[in-house]
Amino acid sequence: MALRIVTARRVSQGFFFLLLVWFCVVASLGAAWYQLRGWPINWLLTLDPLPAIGTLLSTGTLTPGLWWGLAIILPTLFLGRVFCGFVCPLGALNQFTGWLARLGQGSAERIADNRYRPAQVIKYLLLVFFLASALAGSLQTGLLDPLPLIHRSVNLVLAPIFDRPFQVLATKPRFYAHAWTLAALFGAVVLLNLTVPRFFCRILCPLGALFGFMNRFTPWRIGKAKDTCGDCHLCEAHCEGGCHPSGAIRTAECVLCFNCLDVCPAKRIVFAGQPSAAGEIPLPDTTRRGLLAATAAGLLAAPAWALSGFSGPNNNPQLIRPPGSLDEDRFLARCDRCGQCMRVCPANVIHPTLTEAGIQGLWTPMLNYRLGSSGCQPNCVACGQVCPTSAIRPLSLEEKQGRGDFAAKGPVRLGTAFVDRTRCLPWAMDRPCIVCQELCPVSPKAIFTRVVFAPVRGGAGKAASVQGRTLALTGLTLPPVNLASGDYFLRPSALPTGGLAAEPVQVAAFSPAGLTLAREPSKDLGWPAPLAQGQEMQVVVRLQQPHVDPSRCIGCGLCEHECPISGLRGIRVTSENESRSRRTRMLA
Amino acid sequence: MKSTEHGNGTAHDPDLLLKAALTRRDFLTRAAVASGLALASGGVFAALYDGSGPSALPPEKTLAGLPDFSLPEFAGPKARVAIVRGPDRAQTLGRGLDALGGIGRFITKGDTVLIKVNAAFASPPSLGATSHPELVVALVAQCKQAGAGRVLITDNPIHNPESCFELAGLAEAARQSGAKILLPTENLFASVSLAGGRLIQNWPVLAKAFDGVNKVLAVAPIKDHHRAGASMILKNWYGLLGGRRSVFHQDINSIIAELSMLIRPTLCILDGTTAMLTNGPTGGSMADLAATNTMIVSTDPVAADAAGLSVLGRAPEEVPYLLAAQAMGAGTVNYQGLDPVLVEQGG
Amino acid sequence: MARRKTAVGPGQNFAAWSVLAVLALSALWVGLKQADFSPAVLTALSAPGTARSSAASSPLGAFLPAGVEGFSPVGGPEFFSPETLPDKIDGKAELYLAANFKELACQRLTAGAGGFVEVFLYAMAEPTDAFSVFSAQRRPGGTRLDLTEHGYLAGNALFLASGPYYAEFVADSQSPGTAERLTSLAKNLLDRLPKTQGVRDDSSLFPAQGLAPDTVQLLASDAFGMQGLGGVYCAAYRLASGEGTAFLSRRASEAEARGLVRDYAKFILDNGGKELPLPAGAPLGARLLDALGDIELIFAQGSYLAGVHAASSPEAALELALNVSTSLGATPREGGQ
Repeated sequence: MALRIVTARRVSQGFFFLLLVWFCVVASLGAAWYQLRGWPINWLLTLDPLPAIGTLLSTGTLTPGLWWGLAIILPTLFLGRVFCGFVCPLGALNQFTGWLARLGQGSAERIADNRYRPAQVIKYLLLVFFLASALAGSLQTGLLDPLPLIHRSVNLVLAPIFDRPFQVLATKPRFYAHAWTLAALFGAVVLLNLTVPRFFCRILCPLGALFGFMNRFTPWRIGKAKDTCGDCHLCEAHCEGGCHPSGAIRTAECVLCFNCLDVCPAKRIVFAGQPSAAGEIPLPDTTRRGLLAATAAGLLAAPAWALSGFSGPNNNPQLIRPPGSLDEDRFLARCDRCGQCMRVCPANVIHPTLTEAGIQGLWTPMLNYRLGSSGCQPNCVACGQVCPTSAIRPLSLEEKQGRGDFAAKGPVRLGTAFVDRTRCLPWAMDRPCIVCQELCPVSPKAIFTRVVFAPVRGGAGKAASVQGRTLALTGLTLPPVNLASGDYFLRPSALPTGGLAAEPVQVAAFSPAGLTLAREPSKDLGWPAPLAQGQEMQVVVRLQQPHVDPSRCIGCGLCEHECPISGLRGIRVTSENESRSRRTRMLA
Repeated sequence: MKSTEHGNGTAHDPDLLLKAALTRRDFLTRAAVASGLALASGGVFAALYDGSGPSALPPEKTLAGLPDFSLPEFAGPKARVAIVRGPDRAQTLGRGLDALGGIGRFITKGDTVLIKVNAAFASPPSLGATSHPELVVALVAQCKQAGAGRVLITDNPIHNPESCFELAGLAEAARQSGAKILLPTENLFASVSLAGGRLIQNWPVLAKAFDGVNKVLAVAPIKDHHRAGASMILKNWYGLLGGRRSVFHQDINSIIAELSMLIRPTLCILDGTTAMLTNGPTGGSMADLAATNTMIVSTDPVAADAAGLSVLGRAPEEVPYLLAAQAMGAGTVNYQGLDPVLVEQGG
Repeated sequence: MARRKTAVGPGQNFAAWSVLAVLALSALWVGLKQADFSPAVLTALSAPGTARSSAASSPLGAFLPAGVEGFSPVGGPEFFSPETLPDKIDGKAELYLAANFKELACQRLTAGAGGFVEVFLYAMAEPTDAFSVFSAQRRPGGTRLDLTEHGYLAGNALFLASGPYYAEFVADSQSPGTAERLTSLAKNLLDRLPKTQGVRDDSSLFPAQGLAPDTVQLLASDAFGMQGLGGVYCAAYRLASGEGTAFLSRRASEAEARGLVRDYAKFILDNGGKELPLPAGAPLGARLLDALGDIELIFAQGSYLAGVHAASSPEAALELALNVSTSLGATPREGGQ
């Protein structure tokens, strides 16, 4: 059966687009066929050679998994931008939107839309800027690299919105901090197709630019077999790259859509091992000055960002990176902002940054214990396992928990919890609460409590009548608390001279008739016995005030997540003592 | 007409042009449309007028209870009970249903049936701590035979629901019989305040599992229970509660009595083929089990439990929640008074 | 647009089919790859219950059986604290909480074709607490084991208490090899547990005469239905004069023991009991009560609260009470003897 290459191209674009959607759907931790299992959810990200080349420049090494980039680089060197035409799901989306927007348009308008524009040079300058910045140690390609862009847009914006009524992807609705900024970029990329077809691909895409440089020496390429033709320009009516196939073709711009070859009524356009008979312009329109300026800007940008000291003395203590993250400098040399860690996290605790990591860390992952559905779960290593560039190292559970071979190193610490004594209920408000201590998952617990008996406001009174364990008190102006909750105690406040401090005795029941104590007060407890009428008494509350043992705390944030002070929590994790950095070490 | 003639002559005067275009018919149409819009906007404003202004807090989204799934023809004294003796669950179930007039009296074509099982523990069926998969398979088959559309199976074991359903053999039973396990995901819970309830107030309940369901079958084993005395049909509703429900253990009798008001099932199937006589509700040893060879099929959950207690050799007075449930009107402990059908298998 | 079908040349045809072939291969590879589980999923599967607050690891886990021939663990161990215990054993948690439960470690093991065994290791505060939960759940007709102080085999399950630990080994079925397999697991666990000194234990104070074997129990709380009465040892007796349950409980002081005699008598009387005249020879200060047909005899001796619960007759109650009293040490008697 005769198959047209454009049909094969459309099938291929559809295939990879559906594959992207599928990989986004299955990225929930689980063993069902519609969950993560072994689905290679990073495959499309790693086929993209830009992360490989970017991290090669920023780290000097090739991260395992990124070698897949070769599977695209090699055909590109021989055939041209196959990725743009056949693989890129964002390219497919742009092409589809552009087609949709131009339904019913005549050839003349289409031909005008698809003319070559000088602005198409911008993407080359962006690429050079990004690569220079990577060389200087700061990987920024992910901001506009189409694969990370579409992954994070689908995973962090579209999926949570469309899954909200169904909750198939997650049992609780997902949140992503600052997701509107991702949505804005994605929306802009899609809508700009209304002005120029494949606007993003032609003008902004750094990956397309990379392929544009790469196909300088392709033996085979699109071109005209004969220079003379009817000048119908139909080849340009559907040209996706804006590469002027009717004349001197700009091969760097050709996205291999093969539309020109398909529509040419005279079959004059061919894909062959010869230059176009109408001539070709093999290199982009970049000027030497432009390239130099972009390189210089990139080389300078990274050190300029570093001047803020974000990875040094001015680090943001609220920036908690996922478990296994490298130290800040090496992290930013690798993180591609693909959002896979944020998608896979079962606790929804990993979120994209806006300014928390500085402008150079835009959309990198940070933990937000208020927004998550829990803290960082102690039994989970998913984020590091899915990170395609090892900005978050793939930890084993043993290493994360500091067991087995890692016992000497101890567990991975994300930071340290600090009790805010001005907000914590038992510290600041004299109200009993031990939620954080109860939920601390470390064994032995990193949060411990010290018991303090504090006088209750308005809890001073005089014993009016005493009958065994029950006594009526006069003069109490207590706040509305449940005195019989077990947290409230009574003790005589003024003791006969020479008396030692009296032990508080628990209140067992409280009624209008008076307080019933849990046990009979006696001299052993330092109480005056028998208790005289008129004895001054004080209601006290037993407070278990939480303290953090910094040598045990792993910064998982379960305490912060569960703290009943719902706004600014009474216990909060900051990055001090995080394992990933020697500089923030707190203990000798 | 006249105005048109006028208009033709003075085409450059804008004021006159307007007049010229305005024929009588035009005017009437425009006036009618404008009046319609005026009325509509006035009507919308009037319909949505809220003189009291917004409340201080958004209205609390809490359900007043669950729908009533019991059948009116079995209400109160018309309740029916069948007690079948025999070791084979499929057979005793079949005979029990037949004694009450057949599954067709309870399940009709196209019904969506929810079976509330006991899947509280990740414990194998042999230990008798959970609803037996054979019984569930037989019951689903009965439902399908009666023409039921979808059959759902649910429970909320707090710890790791997947492994509880899997290890108790209930996931396999569902696969075999074509029923669907409804795992207690967060989105199935809704806050419920039971009218007249003291404990079930703004508490998360597995309420959305009942969405679209029109028949509810309760399937539970007969077990001793450390805290409640015995765990049968009523105690098994505990699995509808979410949140940190263990706080209710302090007042176990009241919470079970309130649960009996919260949910009224279509039919109860109490499985005493092997009963857990000691060390419930978890058991662990087969020494805790006895072959009591009894299947109780009842439309009255309280009567079912009272009959089940006799299998454990206990009296309703020893299980306070049963008397409390009776007092609240959930059923009667006097199952003998309902003229139960007694069937000896093979007889 | 006006698209004419132009003939497709052989080169284009070949290229187009090659593209589809590459897609098919990719789909095949992806389909195969999904069966090769990611370590993230394997970790999540092997550590169930991650959403709960139970600790991810605990020193208690080191005592769980490991490396026993024929067994391999299924998933990692699970741990439960007093707060999360009801998640695992909802309905029975109170039995353990009342007996100073500290932590539970569970591990599921597979014996291949031999089925599954689940091991529950409970850490309690004191050896007496472990004995309390052990004795409260004792199955009748079990086979006694001498692996440790307290242990028996009941069908598909093995139960033991050693020091402050109580352990259950529950197989999902009973087959000829079950007993040996459970015993090998129990031995492995006992080897791992820290060695404890023989603890002083009031259960040895029960007189031997008429004692029904394996009935000594420690009631941690609410003994005989009386709220707040805990730490009571009891044991079933069959004597010539009748049956009854003897009990004894060491209290903090003589005064407390005497106070409890009063409180317990009041509890019986409040619940419809009747005071009976005290026969001669009864322990000093004893109370004899008829609790709706069951005879209760209670007394205090030193700091011990002791007596007989649910005896079949006053004579049986008196005989058993005197035996207990003697066993606690000779003491003054009622009636000037």
